Formats: sequence, C-alpha cells, structure tokens
Amino acid sequence: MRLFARLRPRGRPNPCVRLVVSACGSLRFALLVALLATGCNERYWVCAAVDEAASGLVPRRLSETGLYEDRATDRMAGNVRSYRPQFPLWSDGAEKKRWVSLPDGSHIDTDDMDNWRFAAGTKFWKEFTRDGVRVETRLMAKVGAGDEDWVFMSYLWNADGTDAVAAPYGAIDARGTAHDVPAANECASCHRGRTSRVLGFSAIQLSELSQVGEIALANLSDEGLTKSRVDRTFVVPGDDTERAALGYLHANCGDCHNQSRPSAAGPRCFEPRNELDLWLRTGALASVEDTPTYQTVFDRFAERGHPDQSGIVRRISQRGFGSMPCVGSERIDEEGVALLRRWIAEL
Amino acid sequence: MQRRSFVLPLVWSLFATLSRAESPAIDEPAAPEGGPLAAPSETRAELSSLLGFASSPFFVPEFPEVSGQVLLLRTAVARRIAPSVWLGLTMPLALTSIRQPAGSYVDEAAWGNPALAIQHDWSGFTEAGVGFLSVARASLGLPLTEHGPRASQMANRALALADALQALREPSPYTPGVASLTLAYRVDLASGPWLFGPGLSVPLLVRLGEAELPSTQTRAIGLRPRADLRALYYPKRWFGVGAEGSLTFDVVRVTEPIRPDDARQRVQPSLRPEIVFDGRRFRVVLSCLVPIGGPVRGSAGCGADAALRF
Repeated sequence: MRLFARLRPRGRPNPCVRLVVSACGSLRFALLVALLATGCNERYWVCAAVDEAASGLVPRRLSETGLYEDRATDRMAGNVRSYRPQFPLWSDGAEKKRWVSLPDGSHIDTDDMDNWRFAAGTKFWKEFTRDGVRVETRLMAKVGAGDEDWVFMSYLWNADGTDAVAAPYGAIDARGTAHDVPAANECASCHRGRTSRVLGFSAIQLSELSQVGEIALANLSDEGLTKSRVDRTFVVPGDDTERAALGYLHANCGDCHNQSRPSAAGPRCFEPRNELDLWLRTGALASVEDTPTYQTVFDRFAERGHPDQSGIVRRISQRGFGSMPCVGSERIDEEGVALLRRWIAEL
Repeated sequence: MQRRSFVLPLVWSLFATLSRAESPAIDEPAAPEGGPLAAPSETRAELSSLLGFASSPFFVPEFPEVSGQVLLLRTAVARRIAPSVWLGLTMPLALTSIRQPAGSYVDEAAWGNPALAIQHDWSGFTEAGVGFLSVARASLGLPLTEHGPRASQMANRALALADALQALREPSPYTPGVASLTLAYRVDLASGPWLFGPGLSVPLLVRLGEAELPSTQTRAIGLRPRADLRALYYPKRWFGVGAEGSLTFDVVRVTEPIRPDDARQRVQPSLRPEIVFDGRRFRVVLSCLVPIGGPVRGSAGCGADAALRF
C-alpha cells in the first residue's frame, strides 16, 4: 500500500501517471478482494471454531455461576469483589461493572508482576449496560492449573432481567441495542495475547486508588490475596496527557500489540505483526522513553507533532477495513482519538 | 454463413443461463438445420465458481443479519437421454468465512441441496432468419442440507450467505430443510452478432425441517419466482460480452427475517455483466453478480464458469 501511496501524483498530474495510478488502484482493489475472499486474511481475523466441550464446563445460566447470592435483588455472593481498572477498555460507550472471585484459601501468584497467575476456580465477571439496557455479563473461569485453562462465556440477559443465558455464539444488536455480544471463541482475540489471559486485573491496572469496597493493588496483600507481599504501586510515567495516552494504548491495543505474546496452537482471531509493543510493563516505567510504547511507536506508526500523519491515529479514527481495534468495536472512541491526537501533537 | 455464426453462441447460451439455475448442466439441442454442429455431444460437465462478499437478513433474534466472505462452487453433469432431452445432477458447495458478532471470522463449509433435472429443448429459425432456442426444464431439489445446531445456526448462516451472494436468484440449493420443484422456461433469439431473450424460473419450496426456529418465522411453503432478460453481443464468433438483468420476487418465504424492515423487502433486482468465450468443446464465462438494492444489497461477487462437452 505504501508503494501505491508513493505513486499518487502531486501537483498537476500527468495523464500517463493518472492512468498508472488508476490501474494500480484497481489492481489493489482486486487483490484486496481476492485476498479477503480466498481466506488469505486468516492470519488476522479468523478464529478457531467455538469449543463446545469447553463451553459445557460453565453453567448455562449466569445465576448459577456464583456471582450472586440473590439474583432477584442483585446481592453479590460473599466472596465476590468488585474492581475497576484505571485504564478501561473502550466498549462502544457501554457502562461496565467488574467482579472477581478467588477460591477460598487461594492466592494470586504475583512472582511475574506482569503476568499474574490465578488458581483453578478463579472467576471474573464483567457486566455491560448499553443505552440503559443491561445486555450481557461475561465470565472468565479458570478451570485448570495451566495458563491456557480459561473458559470464556457471554451470558445474554433475558428481556425481563431475571437472568442471563449462556450465548456461546454471541448475538448481534442484543436486546434491541447496538451492542454485539462476542462469541466465546472471539474472546481469544484479546485474552490470549497475554500469558495471564486476565487483562484488566493487573499490577498496573489496579495501581490507582479505588472506590470503597473495590479491590486495588494497595489492599490485595493486606487482605492476604497475593502469594507474596506487594508493597508498592506502579505509576505510569509522564504528564497527564502522556499517562492517559500510554494507559489508553495499553488497555485498548497492548493485549494484541505486544512482543511477549504467548505462542498459540491454533488461530486466535487476530495475529498482528509485532513491530509495535503497546503493553506497559512494571519494570519499564522509569520514564516515558523507557516504555515499549515510545520505543516502538515512533516514528513508524506515529510522527511526533503530527497527528494527521500518524497511522495510529488514522487507524482508530475509522471503522471498517483497516480500522483499530479490528474486533469488538463499531463506534469510534472520540475521546480516545482526541487524547491520542493531543498526545502526539504535544510531543 | 451469417446463420452459422450465431449457432454456437446460441447453443452455449442455453448452458450459460440455465446451468446457473437449479438445473444440471445442459448441452446443445439438436443442431438447427444447416447449423455447424455436426457431432452433438452426449455428456457435459461443468464447474462454476462465484467469489465475493455477502450480507443477508437472518432468522433468529441473536442473529438478525449475517455477513461474510463466500466461495460458491457448483459441479454439474448432464447426459442426453433422447434427441432433445437431458437428465442431469447438480451439487452446490458453499465455503464461507462468517463474520462473528465482535468482527472476527469463523470458517464454515456447507453443502447445498443437490438437484436432479430433466430438460427439453427446441431450436430452429424463424422465417425471418432469426435463430431461436427454447428450453423448458423441471428440477427436483433434494432436502439434504443441514441446519446446524440451534444455538449456532452455522450451516444456516453459511447457506444464507450463499443465497445472498447469488442475489437470491436460486433459493432451492441454499435453503436448508426444504424439498423443491422448479419449473423454468427460457427462449433465446439470435440475430447477427446479437443474442438476447427472456427467462422465467418458478421454484416451489416445501419445508420439511425447521431447525428449531420459532414457529412464527417459518412456513410450510415458499415461492420465489425470478424473471431474467439477457443480451449478449458477439464481435467474434468465439467471444461475447453482455449482461443479464434479473428480478426476484419473494412471494412467500419459508423463513421470515427477524427484522420487520427486512421482512418488508420482497423484490431483489440484480445485474450480471459477463464475458463469454465459446469453443466447440468448451465454454468459459467470466462474470460478476451485483444485487441492486434489495435485501442483500452490499453483496457482490465475481466468478468463472467452465464447461466441457463431449
């Protein structure tokens, strides 16, 4: 594509050049169609089929997953705790609530501070409300000792809000909203990009002060939930704009675009090239220049001071072919775009 | 001489139009008097392909729409059983990458309904010297496709994409759980370098299985007739360019789309520009098929049909 971009004439175009450019444009379109339609896009977007056997390892109804003590009153079970990542994932404007449940007596293994490991029986839930309608609650359940042993499932709320039912194949425009519920196999596109599989519950994401009753890094150890004591928090470097931009890219892009992705036996929906690394690491927060983001973004994917000439801005400013994120979003995050534009412009 | 120049396109035109429908591959009729086909073939085989993007309304609340990439393949063989009568078999296959709710894709392959067909043709020249070829056909679609599980509807979704990619022109191969009887008639006229003519296809679908779809969404009988008008220009005897316009009307659907807006749309126009290479023993057609508005707007595909007769 860069080749074709260079062929674009400047100034008054020569008719011959226009003809060549037009032919190249047509050829590019034809190639694109052929590549997409013949499955050559598998490297990027094709998932493995939904694992029916794995789906059978979690209950069919949300009310049976252990989230609620009393579903009718939305009273949570005693061992369920809420938490809030400091850099949330953009979900097309949906409001989200998150909870975690650790098995009694278990601890989070924080030996690798960037890849926490969880005991079998650990569960995470995330509830999505779109336009005032509670649409779905997603479950991540650890069903074995290995890093791979997670089961993902979306539960689609019924019309009267009494319960949610497992939807392993997802749903489009669920409950009359514009919200799409992902199929279980699509969860791999983000969660299998990190060894931990858990993305929003990490040392960096929990380092911000939390609201009353919510889990934060500061109180994890105090409550005896970590295998070894964690005495510090991890502050993302930079001024307010830089911190926000680094955090935004970490939460929205870093789970795929990072250079420490675990190997995968099968397709996981999205396999980007790994020249980019947008995942923040606890050991690389001394300065902004110390972060993988600054070391890999400039000047190939963003040009300091020139947001309009930065591919990273262009990608998140559109939807459709070539947009980012390539899964899980149909609506542009205008605040996120403005944030990244401001960040690049101020550099 | 002029008569002879259009006999070959006329003969092949019969194959080009009707083999795309629910029929098996067909061959030339008995050669018109004075025509060049001294050795009419007894058997023919065909491989058709169509590749592209498709989107379509769908039938269940979880999936009110389906979209994805599709490669349609169809093999067909036919055998002459009487001077003007052919018997044949068609087998369609849809290879799809179905778009999932979050935007990724998952592959699904689905066989379509095979069809058995019998065809009668008649050709000749009018007193004004215009060649004509008239073809009547009846085909029986066998209800062998599968729906896939109720939760996923994967096979159903793949077949809906296949149906959309070919602009809803042929419901019988791509409607799961139905047997079908299709009656079709076409006449082509040839004058100088021009070949043109109308066609009509009337498929009657009888639902035998429901894939656990809500009963309000299904009917026992479906009817989706199609009218075609085609014109081809042959600057050379072996080379033609042209287009076929079609209008499909969903009179009665066996399965209603879940969205009311989709259910209200019943007419599907489409256009198929094509380039034709005719030989005595082979034919290759390169074409694109584009729905114009209608329920499956946004779909588009291009492909090639290759046929041999021997």
